Amino acid sequence: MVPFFFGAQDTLYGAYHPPSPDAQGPETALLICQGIGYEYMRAYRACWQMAETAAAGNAHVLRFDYRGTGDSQGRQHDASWAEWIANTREAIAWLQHTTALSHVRILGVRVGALIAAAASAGDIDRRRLLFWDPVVDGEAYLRDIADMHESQTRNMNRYRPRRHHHAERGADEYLGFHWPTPVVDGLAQARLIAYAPTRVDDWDVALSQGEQAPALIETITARGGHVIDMAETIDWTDIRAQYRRVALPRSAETMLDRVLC
Amino acid sequence: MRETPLIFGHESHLVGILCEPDEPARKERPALMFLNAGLEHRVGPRGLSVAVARALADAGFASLRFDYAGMGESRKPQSPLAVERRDELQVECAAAIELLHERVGCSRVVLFGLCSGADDAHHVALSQSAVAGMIQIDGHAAITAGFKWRYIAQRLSSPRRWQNWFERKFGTPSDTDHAVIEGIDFFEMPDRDTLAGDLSTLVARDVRLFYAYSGATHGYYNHAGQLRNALADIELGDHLHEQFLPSADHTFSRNAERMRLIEAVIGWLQSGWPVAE
Repeated sequence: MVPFFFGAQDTLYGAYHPPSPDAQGPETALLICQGIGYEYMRAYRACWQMAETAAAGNAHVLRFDYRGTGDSQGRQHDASWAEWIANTREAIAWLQHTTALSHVRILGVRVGALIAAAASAGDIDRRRLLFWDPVVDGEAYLRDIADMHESQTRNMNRYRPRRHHHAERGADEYLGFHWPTPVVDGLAQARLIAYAPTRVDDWDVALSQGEQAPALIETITARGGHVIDMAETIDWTDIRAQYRRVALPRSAETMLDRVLC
Repeated sequence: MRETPLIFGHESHLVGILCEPDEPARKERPALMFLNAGLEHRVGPRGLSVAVARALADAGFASLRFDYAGMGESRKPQSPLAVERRDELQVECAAAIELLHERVGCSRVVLFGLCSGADDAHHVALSQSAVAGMIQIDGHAAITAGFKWRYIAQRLSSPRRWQNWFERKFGTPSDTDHAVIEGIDFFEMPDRDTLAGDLSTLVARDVRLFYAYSGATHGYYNHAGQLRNALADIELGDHLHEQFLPSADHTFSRNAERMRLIEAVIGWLQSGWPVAE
C-alpha cells in the first residue's frame, strides 16, 4: 500500500493498493468510497481489508478521505457535500491516469454510496458500482444521526452535577463530527434512487442483516443487477454499536467478484 | 503545517502521518507521538488526534500519528520481533521514535494517549529513555478518601440515580441507553503503590506529566487535584500537571471541550519546553 496526498494542491489523503505481483486475471481499477462520521471509523479497517483482497485479485485500488475528514487536509467545518463529490471525481481521474484503465469501478459504503452515485452521475462512461449498505435517503439518515446525537448528549455525564449536562439537536455536531451547513444541506437533498434513471451504470447492492432498501432493490433487479445478502448484522444506526468495528464481510469475495467482473 | 505519510517498521508494515510546522520545528523541543486509543486508527476518536496534531504544528511542535500493527492501515509483521503484544508495542514505538529522530531531528518525544493509549503511554514511557513527557487523557488515577465522599455525595444528590433506583425497585428501568461510554475499563488500572513507584521513576528521569480527565471517569476520578493528593507521599513538584474537564465526554466529541483540551495541552507544552530567545 502506498499512502500519499493527491488532488488540487495535494490536499486529499489517498492509499493506493497496487495489484499483488503474483495476481492473475484481468487488471481492473477499483475506487472505495468510504462512509463518513462514526461509520467511517467503524468500517476503516474493513475497507482496508477489502482493498487488500481486491489488490490480490489484480485490481488497482484507491481508498481516500474526503476533504476535512480523516487525514485529508481542511477542517471539518470547511467541508461541503459538493466538494466531497468533486473529491471523488478527482480520485476517479487519479486512478484512470495512473492505471490507464478507463473503467473505474466503485465500491461505496453507506454515505459513500450516495457520493459515488452522485460523482458518477456527471460522466459519460458506463460504470459498475457496488453499494454496501447504502444510505438511500440523505434526509432520513441525517434525522437518524441527529436522534442518536441527541440521545448521546442527553445521557452524557448524566451522573455528574446538572451543570455538566447537555442535550443537543440542531447544532452542526453529529456524534463528535462537525458537518457544516454545506454538508448537511447537500446530504439532506441526496436520494440514491434519483441517480438511477439518468444512468446506464451497472448497479449491485450488498445488504447486511436488517438493512432494507426495497425501492433500490426493485430498481437494481429490474436493471439486471444483483442483491447480495450479507451474513453479518452491522447495526449501522444502533447507537450502542457506534464504537464497534465492522469486520471484513464473509461475502467480501462475492462482493468483489460482482464489482470487478 | 505540512503532513507527510510515512511507512516504517522493520518490515515496512507501519503507516503513519508526520505533521510538522511550516517552519522547521526547534530541535530543543520534543516531538509528539500519538498512541492508538482502543480500536480507533491513527486519526483518533472522532478525529481527535488529527485535530490535536494540527493545532500542535501551528504552535511549533512536530508529531507522528501511526497505526499499531494490525490496526488501521498497518499490516501485522510476518516475522514479529516480539511474541507478546506489550513487547511488540515497545518495538513499534521505538521504531516511531527513531523515525521522528531521523525526520525531525528531535532527540526526545512526548507521548499522547487516550484511554488504553494512555495505559500504553505509561509502559512506553517507562521503557524508552527518549520519552521526555507524557500526556494521559482518561488514563491512570488512584482513589482517595476525598474521591469516596464526593462519590457518595454525588450519588445521593443525583436525581437520575434516584429515578433509576425507583424504576428498578417499582417499575421498568428506562435508563437502558448505553450510548455513552460509562466508566473506563479498557485497561488494567495499576494499584496506587505501583503507580506511585512508576511515576517516581519517571519524575526522577525528568519526564513531565500531563493528566487530563473527562466526565466519563466519574467511577475513579471526581475532583481536580485528586491524583496529586493520592500520590502525596512522592515528590511530583512541577512535573505533574492535572486537568479536570468534567463537561467533556470520553472522546472529547464536543468541539468546545475539544478546544479546551487542546489549549491546555499546548499551554503545558509551551511552558515545559519554552523556546530560547
